[in-house]
Formats: sequence, C-alpha cells, structure tokens
Amino acid sequence: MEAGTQLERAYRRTAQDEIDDFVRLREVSLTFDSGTRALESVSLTLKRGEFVSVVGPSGCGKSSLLRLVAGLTPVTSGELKSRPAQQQDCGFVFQDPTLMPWASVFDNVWLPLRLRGTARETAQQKILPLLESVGLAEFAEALPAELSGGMRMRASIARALSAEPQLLLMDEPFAALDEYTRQRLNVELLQWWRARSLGVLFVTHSVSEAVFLSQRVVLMSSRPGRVLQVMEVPFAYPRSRELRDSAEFIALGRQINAALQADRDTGEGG
Amino acid sequence: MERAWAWAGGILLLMSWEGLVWWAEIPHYTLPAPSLILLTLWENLASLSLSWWFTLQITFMGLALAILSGVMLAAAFALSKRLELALFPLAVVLQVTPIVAIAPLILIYVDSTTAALLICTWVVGFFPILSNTAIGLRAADRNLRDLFTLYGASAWQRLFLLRVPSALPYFLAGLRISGGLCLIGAVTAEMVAGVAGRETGLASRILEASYRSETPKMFAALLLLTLTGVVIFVMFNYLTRRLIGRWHALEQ
Repeated sequence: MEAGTQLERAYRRTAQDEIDDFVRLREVSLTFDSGTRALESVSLTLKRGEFVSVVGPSGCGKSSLLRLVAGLTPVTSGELKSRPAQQQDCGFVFQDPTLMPWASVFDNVWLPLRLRGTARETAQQKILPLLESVGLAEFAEALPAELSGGMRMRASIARALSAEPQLLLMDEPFAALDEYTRQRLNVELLQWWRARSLGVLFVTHSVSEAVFLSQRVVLMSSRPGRVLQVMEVPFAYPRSRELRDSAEFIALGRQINAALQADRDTGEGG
Repeated sequence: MERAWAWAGGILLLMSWEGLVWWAEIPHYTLPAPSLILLTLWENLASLSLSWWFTLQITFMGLALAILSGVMLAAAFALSKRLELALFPLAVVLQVTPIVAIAPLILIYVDSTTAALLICTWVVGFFPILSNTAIGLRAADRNLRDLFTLYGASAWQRLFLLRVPSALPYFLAGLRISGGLCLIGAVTAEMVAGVAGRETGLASRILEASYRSETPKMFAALLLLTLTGVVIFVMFNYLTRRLIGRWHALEQ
C-alpha cells in the first residue's frame, strides 16, 4: 500500500513539470520478438540535469530501458518521449568500455564529434581538456589494450561526454571494476556531472552505488520489469566518500534492499 | 632462445641425413645427400630460377585475384544477406572440390595454359579470403554498432570507421592461409597440366626430373618451393604484426 502512494506522488505533477519533461515514459511496455516481456507498464520521468538511478535484479529490463530512452529500440506499447534521443544528443556508456581496439584513446574519444563532421584539429581543443579532466592526458596516444580497466572506463566516459550531450545513459558502467576503483569513479562521475548541465540515467545492481550517486532511485522488479517504487535521495551535493558511512545512507540502502527483497519474496511465493 | 632450438633441430636433422646417406651408401637416385642437393641447385640455378620466377608469378597473380574477388564479394555479402545466401553455398562447393579434380576441366575449357593455371590458383586461394572477410565485416562489436547508430553515422562512416577495421584481423588471417594455398594451387595445377617448354614453373622441372630419375634435381626444385612457402608465410606474418600486432597481441 505504501508503495502505491509513493508511486502516485511520483506521477502527480504540475503543468510546469510537463514542460520540463525531458524524458518521459508513460505505461511503456516492451516485448521482444521472441515473446519475452522485458518491461511492463513502466512510467518514469527525468528532468533536465537530473541524476536518476535504476536498480533491480539482473534481467529486470534495466538495460532495455536505457536502449528505449536512447532510441535504439522502439517501444511495444505506451508513450515514450525522449528529447535527447530525438535530437541525437545522448551519450551512452556500456558495462564494457566498448572502445575501438585499433584506435588510440584520442581517436576513440573523438568518435562522436568525428561522426558529426568535426575535424581532428577542431576537436583537439575540446578533447585534450576533457582527457585532462578524466585523468588520461598522458594516454591520448595509447591504445585501449594498454590501459587498465578503470582507465578504459574513463576513456569510455570521456567519449560519451565529448559531444556534450544533454543526457548520459550509463548501463552498469562500473560493474566490472574493483571496489576501490568503482568508489573513486563514483566520486569523479559526480564531479563531471555537476560541472555540466547533464541528465544522467544510471543503471546498476548496486544499491549503495545508486544511493550515493543519484537524486532519485527507481526500484524495479524482475521479469517483466516494473517500477516498484521511486525513492528520493535527500543528501546534498557535493557528496564525498564518507557519506557511505553515515547512518542515514545505510538506512536508506537498507530500506531499498528491503523493498527489492519483499518483491522477490512475493514473486517466489506466487 | 626458442629460435635457437628450431635451428638446432634443423641442423641436427640435416647432419644425420647427410651422415646416413654416406654411411649406408644410399645411391643418389634413391636419396641424395643435402650437400648434393645444394650442389645440384647451384649447377641448375639458371633454369630453376626461371621456373621459380614463373611459379612465383602465378602464385602472386592468383593471390591478387583471390584478394580482389574475395574482398569484393565479401563486401557485397555484407550489404546484402540475400546475395550471401544465394552465393555462399556455391563458394563452399568450389572450395570442397579438390583442385586436382577440377584442373583437367579448366584446362579443357581455357585455351591459354597460363590462364588455366591462374584460374586454378585463384580457386584455391579465393575461399579463405572470402569467408574470413565476410565474417569480419559482420564481426563489429554490437555495442559499437549501437554507438554509431546513436551518433547518426552514415553508411560510409560505418563502413570505413567500424566495419573495415573490425574485419582487418579476419582478412589477414584469411590472407595467411590463402598465401600458402595459392602456392599449392599453382604447383598442383601445373602438375596436372604437365606442361613442357620454356614458360613453365617448378612443377614442370620436378616432373621432368622424375621422368629422368634425376632425384637430386627433384629435391633441388622441392627445396625452392619449400623456401618460397616459408617466405610467403613469414611475409604475411610480418604484415599481420605490422598492421594489427599492437592492438591484437595486447588483447590476448
């Protein structure tokens, strides 16, 4: 019951919110050609510049959700509005860094601009400071295979940021990294996000990562993916690593875990 | 260090061969000693090198045709799945039929022997290039393809910035196989053709020598063929390392 009222609150919006809607999904369902139902009646909004995380068990359609918002997959039913996708203005970061192995870090980061016709020299003025900011200034000419996993992910994020998108879609980008690198990149990601007017839709299966990063956390149930609950995260930015040790942080994480667990139990019971 | 062992093994083998021939007094028409083979090669260098040049030309012209047609057809396959479905089985049929069996037919249909030899060489070398390149052109990472879609890449950008570089390792693997196969094709076809005269390759020299029981000369021609095969292999290995070695070796 409590979940229901929170959902309602999330839906209840003023006219101004409608205008601000940047990404809006209303009752969106997605069924694959194979007949698998990936998403069912998902409603979600993302405002310009907002950082929203989606958590849920693996196979809950989180990745499909990102592909929908990016415009890579069409919805089966429901209404989807994604201004960044319409304007081809999304950056996408995959779980795998997905760099071109034959191209240098610079050339990889240049790719989005290059595909839009920006020459190497012009792009340089943007890319070199960007590489500097993600800590890869000395590795511009290195090949992806010569970098560590964390550095490859930095390059991947730099590529997504290079075209200065309105929206960054991130699909469990840090899942394959060790915990130390992951937490460090979490802090840095927030810095990069705050330095830009950038919306982020961040998919993860780590509850603490979702809470640490975002303004709102969307909880999803397993197959087919439905929105269980949307939680507001009250902590102020800038957030530091110490936040993870605070009682409020731990309590919120516990609350989210409990909600996810409750859904799993009912699913198994039925 | 590893290379030293390979040299040591080779030298030991040659020395025992030489020793065996002298010790057991094996007649040279049965098994010539390595020293005699080298001597024969030196004495017949003029005629053998002409034939070697001919075989080399057939091999590399056949390979060039195989590369050209294989890559072009693979590109066509990449653009049209239907074309691939229609033509790929034919390519497989061409591949699985032994070249020795097709060669006599080709020799009947084609007047010029040189052209017939080229066709045989092409038939043998063409398939690995085609199939590897076709696979390579489809092998681009799925997420990278999505990324290109996301940024509204044109068909040309997709081809040259994504598909061609993704296909390069596959193409080079095909090239390394085809290089060796084309030499085999050129020699086999000439064996079947049994051509004589000035404009002929090493296979004809081997056949002639065998009719005259000149075993040392057969070995000398064989030595040239083997060396050529090794050089082709080393050459394409080097090319592969130069082109993709840096990102490929590191990935493994």
